[in-house]
Amino acid sequence: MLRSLALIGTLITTALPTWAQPVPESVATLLKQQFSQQMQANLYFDELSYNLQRASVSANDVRIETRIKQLSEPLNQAIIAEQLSFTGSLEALTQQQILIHDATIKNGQLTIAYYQTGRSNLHDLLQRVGQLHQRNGQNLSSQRDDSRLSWQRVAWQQPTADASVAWQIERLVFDNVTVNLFDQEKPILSVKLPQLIFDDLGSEQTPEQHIQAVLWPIINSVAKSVWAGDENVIAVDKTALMKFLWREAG
Amino acid sequence: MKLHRIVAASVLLGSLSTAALAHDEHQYEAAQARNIIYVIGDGMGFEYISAYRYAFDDPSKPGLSATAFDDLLKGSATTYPDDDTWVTDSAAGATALATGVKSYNGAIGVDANKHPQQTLMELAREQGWSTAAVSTSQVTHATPASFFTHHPSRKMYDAIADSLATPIADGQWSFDVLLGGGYDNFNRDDKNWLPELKRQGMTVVTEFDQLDDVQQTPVLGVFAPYGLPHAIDDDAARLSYMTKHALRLLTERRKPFALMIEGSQIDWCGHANDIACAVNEMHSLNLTLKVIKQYLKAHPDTLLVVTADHSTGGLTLGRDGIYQWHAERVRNINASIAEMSRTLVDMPAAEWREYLKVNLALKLSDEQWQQLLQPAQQEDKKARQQAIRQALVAVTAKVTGTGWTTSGHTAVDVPVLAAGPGAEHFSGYMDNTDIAKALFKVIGGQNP
Repeated sequence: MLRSLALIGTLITTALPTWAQPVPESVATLLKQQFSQQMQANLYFDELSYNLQRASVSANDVRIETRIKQLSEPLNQAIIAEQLSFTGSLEALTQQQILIHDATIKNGQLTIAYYQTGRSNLHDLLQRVGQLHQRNGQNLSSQRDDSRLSWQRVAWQQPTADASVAWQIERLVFDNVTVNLFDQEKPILSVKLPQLIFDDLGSEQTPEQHIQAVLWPIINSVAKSVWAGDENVIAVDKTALMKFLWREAG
Repeated sequence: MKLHRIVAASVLLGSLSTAALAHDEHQYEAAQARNIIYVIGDGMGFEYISAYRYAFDDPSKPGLSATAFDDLLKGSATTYPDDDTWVTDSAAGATALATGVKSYNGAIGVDANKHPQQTLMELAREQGWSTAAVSTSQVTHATPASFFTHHPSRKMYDAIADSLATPIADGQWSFDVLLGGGYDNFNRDDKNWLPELKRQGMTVVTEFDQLDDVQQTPVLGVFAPYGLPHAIDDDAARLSYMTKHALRLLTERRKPFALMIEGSQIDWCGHANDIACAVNEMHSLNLTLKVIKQYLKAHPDTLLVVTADHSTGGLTLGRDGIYQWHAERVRNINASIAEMSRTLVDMPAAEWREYLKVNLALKLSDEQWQQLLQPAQQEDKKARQQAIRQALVAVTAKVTGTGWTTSGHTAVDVPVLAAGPGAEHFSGYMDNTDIAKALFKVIGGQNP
């Protein structure tokens, strides 16, 4: 995957045009293949493009599917979105690091499916990202001079022999998203949210910390929807959700 | 997770009323239909009505015999799902017919984002109506499930059974009458719902003849481990029998009701490319429509809508450039291809011919007999059964003049039939979601 990302990075750093450019099909295919091998998950997208002036990348019809045997096909579909775009340090792609300042996922769904205590499709994805990182033994946070990353200040590490990655997403925004929570195939929460925001996700966190960073903004957003009187956009099995929360807290 | 967060979540969830599901409703007008009977012929494209009409025509009478479908015909509907395939499965089709929202293949009462959509049955309950379903498949199958539950995959049969068995309030379930197959989804190794449901006040029956004695709703009737046997192998009147009892029990409740009836196995016979099986399932549905028409006469405030979720098999009557379809040959067949292949696979090859003379009952050439007997040479049982099935499909289709283009579904338009108050709103071309939207209005007290 990183070789593909590096290739995109090279393309970006060597290309002069400042308008949105399509990423060649061969690179897109390589990216999907590498993702499949290293993440044990499927990545689908159409129309991958980059814009050097804005330092942004975007793709349409994005889908990320895990391959967890305990989950049925729809519950392996962790993310489906009409559009994914992000801005970040694109030069860093050549150096096997990912720094994303703002990522936006528009018109889609985030499906979190637990198949046993402390295990979900999202855990699986995050754990695999973490494993990639651990092989390198370095992380981005060790090179940060303060908590706010900036485009210019980050001193990027050099590529190493193994294809490992340090990553940081400063702000991840889901616009118009349906969040679904399943516990052992049972639907316990589905909520349509106009916006869902996650701040400071990075490779220095454990999968469990990531999950908590993801779950609580969802619960808070549900609370806001309820208080705003938007119950019509929520379907919840209250008993099952409470059981789930207690179990996962234990 | 911190305890205070869970406490906060408890407070938050406590403030939620019931699982709130939205549907776009506007001002209500005076109701016309008091009851809705919604019949879905799974896989019933127009061609299945044609095949049934010819196969069950009474040759002793002049002209072509009328069917119960004929005077109900109003229009046709498209069935495509929420993707670029044009070809729906039964789950997306039923979800469209139950919620008015198109979704992905496999979806049970959820939209493309897996978000639950309010079903006709849920709105009906909100309005104080009784709700019911009858099917020849397991009641956990895609079509009945899409009217009562919300699941991301049709394959979650046990989870669907759990949803159906879980009360929505004290002593109340999402249905008042639910009849069909699916015993093994409710009584399984990890959970037996049946005694628990009885303890909670539900009437549970597992034999058809018990239905006569049922006086109390809610009632769950599960009469086969999964789907009921094919009509051609069993009793074509079982769907009409279940319908009769469902109507009796619903009428006794003295409330408006919404009843969904599915002729589930037209589709299964289409998947099997088994024309005799298919026309017998159509006969089963025809008998059911006769029962419903009788009910409409006595209860003119009842709206009947009949449609299909899609067509199956790419059925054609006539093939190979020959201008003839042998309806009488189809009618003479006495068993489904599934039943014949199950029987033959364990039968000594020497007995096959006699068995097929009785059950297939077709006049065959030596070459066709050879084709049918050839699979006996397969050593492996599974391969032998598959070879028998393929030979039966090929010979039956050829000898009857029946064509099939696929073992799956097709994207052709399906019939829409209706009678009763508001039936005129189901005429002409419709999309499948329009049918549900019109029925939502009826339940909501509006003109469709």
